[in-house]
Amino acid sequence: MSLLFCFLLLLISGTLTAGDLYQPDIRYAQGFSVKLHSTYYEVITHSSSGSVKRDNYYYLIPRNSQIPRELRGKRVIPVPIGSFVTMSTTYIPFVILLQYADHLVGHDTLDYIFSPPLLEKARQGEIREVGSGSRVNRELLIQLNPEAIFTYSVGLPDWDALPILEKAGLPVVLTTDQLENDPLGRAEWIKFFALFFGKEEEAERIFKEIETDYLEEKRKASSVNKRPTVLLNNPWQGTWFVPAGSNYMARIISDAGGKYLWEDLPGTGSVALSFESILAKGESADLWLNVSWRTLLEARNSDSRVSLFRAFQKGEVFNLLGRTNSAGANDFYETGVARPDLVLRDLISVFHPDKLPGHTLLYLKRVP
Amino acid sequence: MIKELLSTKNLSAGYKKENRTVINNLNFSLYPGELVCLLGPNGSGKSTLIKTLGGIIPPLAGELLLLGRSLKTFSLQERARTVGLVLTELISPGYLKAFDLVALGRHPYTNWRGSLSWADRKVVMESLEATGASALIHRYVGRLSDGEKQKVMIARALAQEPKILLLDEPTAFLDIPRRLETFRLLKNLSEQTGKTVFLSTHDLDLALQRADRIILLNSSGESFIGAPEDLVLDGTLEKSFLPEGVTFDRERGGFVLPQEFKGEALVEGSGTVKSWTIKALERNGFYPGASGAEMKRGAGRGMEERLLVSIQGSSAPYLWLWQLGEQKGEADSIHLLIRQIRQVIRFLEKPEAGQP
Amino acid sequence: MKKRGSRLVLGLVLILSVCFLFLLSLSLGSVAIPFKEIVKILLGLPVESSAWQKIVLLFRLPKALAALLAGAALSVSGLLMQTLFRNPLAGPSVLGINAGAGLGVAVTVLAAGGGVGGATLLEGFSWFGQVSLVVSSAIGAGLVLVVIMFLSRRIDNIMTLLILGLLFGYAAEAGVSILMHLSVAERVQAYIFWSFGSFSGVTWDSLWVFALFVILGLLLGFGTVKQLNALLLGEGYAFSMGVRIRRTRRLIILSTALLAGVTTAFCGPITFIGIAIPHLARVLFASSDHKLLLPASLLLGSSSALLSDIVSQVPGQDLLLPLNAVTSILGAPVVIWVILKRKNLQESF
Repeated sequence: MSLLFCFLLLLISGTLTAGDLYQPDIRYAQGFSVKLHSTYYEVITHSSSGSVKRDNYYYLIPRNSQIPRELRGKRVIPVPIGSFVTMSTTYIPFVILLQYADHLVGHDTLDYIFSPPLLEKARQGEIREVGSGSRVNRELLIQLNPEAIFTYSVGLPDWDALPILEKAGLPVVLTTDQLENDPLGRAEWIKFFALFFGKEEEAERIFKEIETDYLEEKRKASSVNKRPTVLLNNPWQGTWFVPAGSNYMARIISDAGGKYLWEDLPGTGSVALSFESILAKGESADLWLNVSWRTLLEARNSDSRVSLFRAFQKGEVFNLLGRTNSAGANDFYETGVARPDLVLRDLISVFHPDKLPGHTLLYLKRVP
Repeated sequence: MIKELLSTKNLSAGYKKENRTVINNLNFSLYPGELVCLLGPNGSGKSTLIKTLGGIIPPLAGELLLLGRSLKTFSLQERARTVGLVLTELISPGYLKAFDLVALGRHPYTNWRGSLSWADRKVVMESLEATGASALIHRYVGRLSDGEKQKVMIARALAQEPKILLLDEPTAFLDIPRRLETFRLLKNLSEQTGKTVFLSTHDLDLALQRADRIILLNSSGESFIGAPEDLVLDGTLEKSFLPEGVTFDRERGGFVLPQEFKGEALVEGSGTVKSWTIKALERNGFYPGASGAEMKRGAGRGMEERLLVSIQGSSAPYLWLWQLGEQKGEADSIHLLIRQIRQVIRFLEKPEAGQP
Repeated sequence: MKKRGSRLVLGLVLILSVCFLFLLSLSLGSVAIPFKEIVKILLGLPVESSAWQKIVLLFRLPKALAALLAGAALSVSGLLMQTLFRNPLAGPSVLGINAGAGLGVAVTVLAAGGGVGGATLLEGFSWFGQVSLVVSSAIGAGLVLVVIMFLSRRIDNIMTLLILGLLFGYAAEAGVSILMHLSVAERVQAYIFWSFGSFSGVTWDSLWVFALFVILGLLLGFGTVKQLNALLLGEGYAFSMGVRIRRTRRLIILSTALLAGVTTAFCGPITFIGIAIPHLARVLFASSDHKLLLPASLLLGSSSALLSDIVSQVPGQDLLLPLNAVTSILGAPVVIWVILKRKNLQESF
């Protein structure tokens, strides 16, 4: 009810100005929560290092306002923030959608950016490369002096930039979007970034569109008689790593009206299985997705036994290289994160072409 | 007809990489059926020479002839059939039985797998018998005593059916009985089989007793060859060891530790007891007879008085009566005799001694 | 002789155990296939399920053969290294050849393929696929071999060669570390997975190449049996008995390079088997004679590789354990038992 009231207020007043805070409704994302206080936001990202859960608290106050007494000594960030740095391409689409790219001053590896306008900015030197993981360039970051560095953690101190940044006293904001298993949950992180950019209203609007579209397509896909069986990934040295049943990929396939053959595997990560076990179940799968090969010949060269799969014989093999550039950046890991509706459409058109006639594949690509 | 089995012409040996020449211009020959010992102080190059003759180290200069031909014309296999080598270290691969170790010596005769024919087995057994190690065939080499191991290693070299047996200080790690045994064995081999046995050793006494010839190396790279007696008589042996600070006594045929000369002695008595009494006195600095007088002159010091000892009795128990200047005494053992004499000398040598 | 009789029996037991483990390896896997069917498939008789036929013939059979070859290759090369260097801790990796192979693979997996953003495991890399992996690994091993062979001509002391080999190994591993540091997480994952070792990656196309080189290496190694026995007494004595020391060294090194290098190229670096098995053979047969030890190590090696593979597939579960972890877990107690029994490993030479 209060949400409806807020929306009406928005419609009347136009843009939300600093000072107008509202309590965002987070429906899908599990990795962060927001608590609205009278004059500030309390944003919490839920991470864990190993089996120990760790919550990270960020207090966002309107710029040029005084820090409330109870927040003394806590991590306070004045919003909207000025310059900032991103340590993952998954944040890029949110930055672009919320039109806050002018404030982006640094990114970990520029080669991984797909977005052409951003690449141009990088070429002009407006976005600097700060290095990734344990090789992150502290000195450059100190020089750039951003107000926030958005980063993630894989939980391995040798690989993460996080401990290095924290030790250097840099303003780190830890996200956990990569752990979201719900496709809409991943996209809902737009609301997270909106809080920092002062674009709460836009975020709500944009996400609403995505959500509506996604749920609509999902509903259409659910009314099918037959769900095609799906095989995922490819072998390496005779072993396959396949997503478990609650994994993001498994879910979005299910939402698209496909039947992932290993959806019964418990967990949200990947499982290592022997080739013969995969063959036993997946030999007659209708579709084979998410391979890493560019051509079927390449596939056969890596392990000749791939031709045992019916999907291979029928040429129903797809990879995720539909939108890549020559530097090797892949948009599936960029805008694909923010636009699960587009990914869903791709999958539906492959699973049930009759539902989306005339659709051209965006991220998925049939392997020639 | 080839008389010499091995001969060298101006052989220089050493270590090329270290630029070290240990042996210079060595000329000698070895004949069948003789036992030749290589003597010399440490560092004179004994080991180097043996290894050079065995082919392990290449010679620096000069020629090395085997059976009249240059060593270079020998194939590895031919040389293995002519020269057998026994080194100082006692290697013992754990799971090898004595028979198998000796059988390795058949290497120059067996096929690519190393399988033994009936004839090979016969040679192995004969080699073991020749060294008196037949009882050891089923025993693991790692478990044998040092003396037994040595026999097995010699047997292995014999199994190569060599004409020449080269040994590098084969008695180094053995106790005295085992050393005697080894020398006897080697002497028998050279006499009975007509092989030439050439070994380096520190056992001077045994070498002097058993060797047909001795090659003497000294620390300046010189070499002397001859029958042991010849080398003793012409003083070569003595001179070679003098730089080491040891004296060789020609009469006794052994090395003596120079003892501080204390005085002359005159011993009355005969037989074994007299010579052993003299030995005890010499050990304590008292030298009898002519040599005593000579030494006194040479040393230029020592006591004025002569020590007089008289041995009573024709068989044990003996009684020793002694007199030194004014002092006298009697003892029923050499031990007591020496103790008494020492007491007197200490008394006499005390500077603040009131009594002479 | 009683001893000979018991050795014959032991030899038969070894041969039987290899056969048994081979058949066991064919019968166990994630898919349950009755043994009768397996026999039928092997004999070429028609079977009801074509899936089963494919699984046995295209997956289990090449895997078992790869394990057979790899186990034989590693244990024989381990024996050769232990005798050449007269060192009980020596193994096939001592000359740095395996590390060279690892470096070759690291260059291909970690460096080649260009920058890939957020890539899946192998994106852009598998241009040549399995072939490139094998080739790069073989090139890496080959380069180290060439250097070692060259050095062996100029070095008198065999111990110097050992130290150099170990240093090459360290240098190669350092190179791999640097490449890992500069690489994307997914690629590093791929490389690490390769380093776990696996027999499952060998298909029929590559198997015959693998077999060819292993057989060549084995023939070369077996051909030096006489010299190996002579080397038990050290190079000095061996030379005096007529052994051409340098030539023998080269043959032994070449044989080891073929055996260990090709195994690493096709199956990844597999630890422990090369060091542990020769000791086991010595203790079981109570002999240092290579006429016995070479075939004994071969059979024991194949058995242990097959056993490790069976255990790593964790029959009954869909779980997979890294092969190297299993070989170490199985191998360590064996070595400990051997050491305790003999009380002095050095004595075994």
